[in-house]
Amino acid sequence: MRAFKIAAITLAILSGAIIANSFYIQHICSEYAKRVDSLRLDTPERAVEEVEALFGEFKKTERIVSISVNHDDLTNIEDCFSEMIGAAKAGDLESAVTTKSRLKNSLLHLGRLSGINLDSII
Amino acid sequence: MAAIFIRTFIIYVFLSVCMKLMGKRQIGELEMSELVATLLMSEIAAIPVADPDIPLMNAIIPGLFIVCLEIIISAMKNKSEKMKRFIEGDPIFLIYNGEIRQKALMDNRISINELLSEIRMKGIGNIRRVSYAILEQNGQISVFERDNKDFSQPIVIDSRPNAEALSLIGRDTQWLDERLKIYGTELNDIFLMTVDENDDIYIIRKEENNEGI
Repeated sequence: MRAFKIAAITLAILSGAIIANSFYIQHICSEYAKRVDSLRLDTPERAVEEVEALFGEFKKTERIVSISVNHDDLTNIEDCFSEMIGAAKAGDLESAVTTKSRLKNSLLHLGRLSGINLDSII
Repeated sequence: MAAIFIRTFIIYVFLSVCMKLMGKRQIGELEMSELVATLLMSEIAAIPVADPDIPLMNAIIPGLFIVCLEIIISAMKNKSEKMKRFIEGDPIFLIYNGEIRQKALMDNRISINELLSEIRMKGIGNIRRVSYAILEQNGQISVFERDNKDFSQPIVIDSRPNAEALSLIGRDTQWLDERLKIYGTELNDIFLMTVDENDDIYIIRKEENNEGI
């Protein structure tokens, strides 16, 4: 009976933690997607400054996110940030804007796959 | 490489703890649900060991989930006879009182050659010497010889009458109630009650702190 109670409580806590984690990852991805979308890339200096600041914040959050998210997905997002910074520093704002779109979609895609829906289950 | 080494150690410790929690049966003969749990655990645990890009949590969380599920299902099987039958099935008599039950062999896809082979492996060369052969829930076949008078049927398990066993020995619940009165005991007090071919009854009463699981 004791083992049953412990197992049932553990299962309940585990389920709660998984659901909470899923919502957290979705929220984080959605927030960062919005912030990526609102990045101003009108001048190279401003682009570098804003993207580097956002990247720095993302790296702090990444530690917690990486506990449950596939590292390949996070590497892909980091690559997008690096490309944007590189393009902005080189003065190629067109590439920076293209990569910005890719980064936003990667974040939204990660958020969708981390959620509890048919896409993520299948 | 260092990360793979540490991950392997963590997964190894985690699996050992899980096996300990699930009980010794995982190491010995497995029931169906236990086999499924063991297979799943080994597959899930291997994934982050082989691929460092996959978080450790992808093995630990499902592993913990399987352990909890296995413990809960085991407890529910002990509480509910119907659930136990649904998950594990029942032991099946392939030979009862010296008679081969051909339908039981067909239903369980056991050929007569397999049955003879199992009997031979038990050291019995002549099928006529066999009085009972039982296909157990774990797939093993138990064999009892005619000379062996120690075979008994469990007619009450954890306060619940075993209708099939009673039916096999040609008895019913009314006969059981009469026997309980003779022995001055009630169904709720019984942990195990068996009867053998000579109608000798053996009763094990429940201990005081036995809640039934």
